[in-house]
Amino acid sequence: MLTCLTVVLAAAPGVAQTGLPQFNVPDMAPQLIWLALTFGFMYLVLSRTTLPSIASVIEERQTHIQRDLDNAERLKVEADQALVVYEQKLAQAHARAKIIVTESQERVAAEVSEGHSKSEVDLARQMSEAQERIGLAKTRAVHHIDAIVVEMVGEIITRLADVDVSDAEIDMAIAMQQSLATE
Amino acid sequence: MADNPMSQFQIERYVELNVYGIDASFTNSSMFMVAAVVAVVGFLNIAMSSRSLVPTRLQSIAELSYEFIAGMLRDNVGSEGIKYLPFVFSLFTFVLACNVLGLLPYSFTVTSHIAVTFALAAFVIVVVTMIGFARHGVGYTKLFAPEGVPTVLLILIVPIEIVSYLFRPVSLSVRLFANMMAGHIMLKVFAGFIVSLGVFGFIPLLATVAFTALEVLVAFLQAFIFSVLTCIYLNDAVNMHDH
Repeated sequence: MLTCLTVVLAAAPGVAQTGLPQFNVPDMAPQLIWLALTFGFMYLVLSRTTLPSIASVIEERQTHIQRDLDNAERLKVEADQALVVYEQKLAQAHARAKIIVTESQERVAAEVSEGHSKSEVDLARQMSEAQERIGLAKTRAVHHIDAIVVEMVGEIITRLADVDVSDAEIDMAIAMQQSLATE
Repeated sequence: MADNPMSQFQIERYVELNVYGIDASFTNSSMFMVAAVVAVVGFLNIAMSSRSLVPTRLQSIAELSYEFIAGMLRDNVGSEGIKYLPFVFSLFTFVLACNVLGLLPYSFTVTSHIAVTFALAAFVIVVVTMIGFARHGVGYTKLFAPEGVPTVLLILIVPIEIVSYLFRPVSLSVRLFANMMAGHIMLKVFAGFIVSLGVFGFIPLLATVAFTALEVLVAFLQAFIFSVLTCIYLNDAVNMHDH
């Protein structure tokens, strides 16, 4: 830049005779006075009103953002706490559900075994009744057989010997025969 | 005189004023200083008029410029630097507005005058030195004797440090002034060639367009460099070498 300046200055006409306007001393005083006035005024206005207002706006925005961030942080912590509480409750519920399941299983098992024993008793009773009934039927059937035997014996005797034998006589004979057999 | 590339730097007195024997005339330079201040203050106040939580486009430009300078101070000076924000912000916006307004055709570039830039730079150095002495007392002079330097070398180092400290306002002001002046002279010279070259005038025309774009960059860059250097000097004053 400076070499350019010297080249240009050497080439520029009229500079050599009059000199640079910048070095004209009588022109300096008004420049300095107006510089002081204008710069001083600007410094006062900027430092008193404009810059504080810019700073306050930026500050306000910063605090606003910070507040929002803090809020978000707080809400996050709350959400985390709620999650922890939820998980605790969930775990408790799980445990309770397990207890309920085992209890009901035990109860059902107990009921089932109770029912089992009751029905076994039932069955035994029914069985003994049935056996009784079978015994009865058997004796009845045996009596029947006796009657049939007596009848058949009478018939056979009638056919073979052509003798009428009363039932009572046959009965007596069978009874005698049986008592002999048992002796 | 219109084709003289230096005539754009001529101070013209619009209103002759004389306060207690001092020439305080309202000049073209004064007009553009006022315009720069009105532009900066007006823009910032219009932009911040709604003060909304979700910024409008203008408001975000104002906030971005604020954050830009605040970040610059934080990076260079540290958290303590934020209280010098109005100072650096005013310097940055004033220099930037003067540079940019100077790029408009027929306008006057306030910062192309060494008187203005040197006054600003001297103001910066005086303020920074005052802050340094206010914070560290006489200890601020240790700035000229870096720690860990052998005593024999101090005889050499201390004068060099003092000279470099004293030349800070010179380098600060000449950098801005020379950049602005050189750019504007270059634009004028190339613009002059457009007419004198006739048919081939499109070549300097293209160059002028390119230089104008470059000058917009330089306008921002020089305002940025001016404020960054101010921050670096502030860092010396606030933290000395133990940053």
